Amino acid sequence: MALSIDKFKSTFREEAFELLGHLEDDLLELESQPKNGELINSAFRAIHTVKGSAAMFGYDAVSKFAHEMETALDLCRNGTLSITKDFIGLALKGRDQLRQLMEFEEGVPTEIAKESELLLRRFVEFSKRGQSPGAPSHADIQGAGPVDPGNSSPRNAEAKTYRITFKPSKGIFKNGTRVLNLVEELAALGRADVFPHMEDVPPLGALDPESCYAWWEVLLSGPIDENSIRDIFIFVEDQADLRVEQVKEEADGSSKRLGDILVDRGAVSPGALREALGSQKKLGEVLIEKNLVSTPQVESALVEQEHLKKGQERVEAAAGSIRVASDKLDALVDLVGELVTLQARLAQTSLDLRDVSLSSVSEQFERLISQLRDNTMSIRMLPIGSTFNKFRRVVRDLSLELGKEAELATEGADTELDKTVIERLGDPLVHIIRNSVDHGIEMPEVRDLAGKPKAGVIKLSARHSGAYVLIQVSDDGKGLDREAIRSKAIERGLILPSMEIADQELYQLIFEPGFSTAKKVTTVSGRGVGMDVVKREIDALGGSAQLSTVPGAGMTVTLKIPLTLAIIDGLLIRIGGEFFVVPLSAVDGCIEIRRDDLAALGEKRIISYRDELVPFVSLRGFYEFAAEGEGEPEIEQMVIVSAQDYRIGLVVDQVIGDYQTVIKPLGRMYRDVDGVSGATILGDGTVALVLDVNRLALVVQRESVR
Amino acid sequence: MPKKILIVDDSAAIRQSISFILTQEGYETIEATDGLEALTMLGSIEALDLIITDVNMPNLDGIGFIRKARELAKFKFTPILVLTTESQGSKMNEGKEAGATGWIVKPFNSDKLLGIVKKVAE
Amino acid sequence: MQAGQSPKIVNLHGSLTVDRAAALMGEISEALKGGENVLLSISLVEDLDLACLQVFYAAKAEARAAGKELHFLGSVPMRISKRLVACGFLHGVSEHAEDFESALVGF
Repeated sequence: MALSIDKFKSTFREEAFELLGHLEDDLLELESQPKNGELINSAFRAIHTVKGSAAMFGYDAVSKFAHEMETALDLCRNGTLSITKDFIGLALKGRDQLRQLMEFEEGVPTEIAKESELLLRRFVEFSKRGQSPGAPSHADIQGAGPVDPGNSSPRNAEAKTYRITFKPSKGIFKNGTRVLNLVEELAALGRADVFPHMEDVPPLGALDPESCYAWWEVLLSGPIDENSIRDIFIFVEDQADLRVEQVKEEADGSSKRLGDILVDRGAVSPGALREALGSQKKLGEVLIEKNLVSTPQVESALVEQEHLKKGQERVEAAAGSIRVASDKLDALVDLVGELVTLQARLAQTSLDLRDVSLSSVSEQFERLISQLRDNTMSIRMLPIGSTFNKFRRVVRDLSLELGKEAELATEGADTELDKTVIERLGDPLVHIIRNSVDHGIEMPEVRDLAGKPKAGVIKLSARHSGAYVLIQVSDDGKGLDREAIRSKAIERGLILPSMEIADQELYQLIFEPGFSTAKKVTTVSGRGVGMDVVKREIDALGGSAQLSTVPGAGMTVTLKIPLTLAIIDGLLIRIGGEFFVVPLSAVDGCIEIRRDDLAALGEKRIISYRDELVPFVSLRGFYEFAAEGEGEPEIEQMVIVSAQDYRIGLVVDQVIGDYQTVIKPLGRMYRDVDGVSGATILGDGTVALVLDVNRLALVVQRESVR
Repeated sequence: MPKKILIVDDSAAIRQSISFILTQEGYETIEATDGLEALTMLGSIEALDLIITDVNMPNLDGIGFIRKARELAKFKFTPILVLTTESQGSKMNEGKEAGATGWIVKPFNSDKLLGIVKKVAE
Repeated sequence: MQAGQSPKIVNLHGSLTVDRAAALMGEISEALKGGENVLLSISLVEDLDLACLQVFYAAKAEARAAGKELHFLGSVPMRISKRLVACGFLHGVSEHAEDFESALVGF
């Protein structure tokens, strides 16, 4: 495990010694006032905390011993047993024993272990007096934690299908339970068909918005055992009705009939089924007509039928994927873009002609195209794990070269990202990983002295977070040297010697051009051409890079990358008759300014925004649009954007709103337009240009300096 | 915006360990040393994504703290996890009755902790 | 939609979680009380939990009973779409509110 809490061991030891000190005081005071409840409480808490923490930090002997003392003290606390002089004596001995055991994280010498054994037996004896005969002695409980059933499930378990009914109680929200999380978790266990039931949700007038009405039927297939299903619902056992049944598949592999499924579930009786089957209509319809079953019951039975059928298809289709040349895929995306445009024209035409039949065709067409577009986009998604092997090699080769020991652990290899994004991520990731091996991981002998395993671990993980993927590279090396970075930053003139700067901001300086703290130049990194390049590349992808560190324990670089380059969230704006899109990730806010106030600024073109002076540019002027017909508006709208590391303002005619957009490369026509990075087609077929905020910022910055 | 988690435990070692594991994963954490301090903090906090609290603490114990927290409108539905040890089965029920969402059994490792946090707070 | 009446738009935004379910219910019932049809704009919703999803279903039932129409508007945030797919409410990610609405199970 790359994350180790071992460095809190010393905190634990200090704390334990302190608590054992308190325990001693409490016990001594208890001797003179054995009925003082607060003292007993305080003693109990001390031993309880020692027990819990000891187990966390691997002091098993301490934890085990403390456990028996805790049991005895608990019985005194709840009044089952009273505190005697003998007990105080025993407890004090126990305390001293714990103090001694604290010296041995593992491998307690036999002699001391024997003493512990004897003392423990006396505590157990003591506790027994307070327990009803037959109650299990805690001394019998072996091991630390409960066995995790998730891991104990047999590896080679055969695939089974379960029908799970999950009915949360009405009050389930009141404990802060996120019901959808549970369903998601369940569905992730295997191949799942999830059927939500919302028919119990009443109309708004009768709704208690804080009660739960929904329930689910889920069909789940895979090598899953029942316990791992029940485990998901462990927190809500008393707040939900959970039924887990195994569905028997037909022995001959044929599809199950709808009627059989309904009978199986007890939704309809076999007799009624025979009768209904006599009719010519579809079985489901007949049963509903006769009020024998409800519509949702039939629908969910149909889902089950489908689920079982798909399972069989899956077995048959062993090879599930094919390889396609990526330029074919790009061409497909382009074609879909064209189709969207063409469809918009069709819609417009049908509207102009007021032809009902044409417009109905157009609507169906539109729906199909939007599905086609979503599907096409999803084809472009690749699991990031396809690039992980390359990084393993980088770590291996580099650590060998440097005489270090390091290995790469990966997580979330199946996280999907747009293929273009994955390609462009390669180089930055190689650089970050090299940096970790080179600057982060210590030489084996140094690690040994620091009590770390000789081989360092670099963990590369990827996971989804909204419309972004978070990619983390963390190592268990020496972490960043705050002072070294500070003095370097001063030397490079990035900060002033007198400046107080927060750690987080200080570490961020590593991404500045020309920054390098390595004492000597190595062949891999340390030439100061590293992290700033990473930052620039990640910025270009519309992402961000963050750095965090724990001195002595390693550092983590977190990259936040948008899922796809082809689709971005944008803010749609208008200037004259033209539409533009500003990437939403760059937008800080929108403000309104009276035109008179703007005019009063004259040549200065700088406004104050959130206590910061922000230069601005009028896009109308920048792109040389003529003034609007009936004079410019009274109130000007300004979009504040963040580019590189500063803000600029863009004066526009109108801010229209959020807009999700498919980006296309620029046609020849627009290639020379300054400050534009791409184009997109709006719903009605008009082209909107995507503003290159970084480029605009550069221009504005240059002008405001002049 | 990172998810914000309050950790309430009188043991600094446990508190810091949990905080360390969570911040490494991108969560933001704040810490309180007992129920009373935590309750005072809640007064000046707008919202939290999760509260993790120990049971046995001086001044105000975990169960009492959960009850009080649930009385505050802004934390009525906030997920709350109770830290227990395996011998404290009854505390799980007591915690749930007071309004806890679930529990974490000590000892735990980072994977287990993160798994549970994700389950209730993501 | 009935002719001559502009629909009332309810702009939803941020995390629609159980804490806000009661307020959301109030807002939508207020909108339904007017004579107009109601559009729920969902582009800016960052998160959606079961409690608020139930409010949508309840609102739809309410509108239907009153002979009014209630529809979603805007683009569906990916996060919401994905979550609803995982929980069985949708069979595939849909981006447009219109597709989303027609695909929503039992809506």
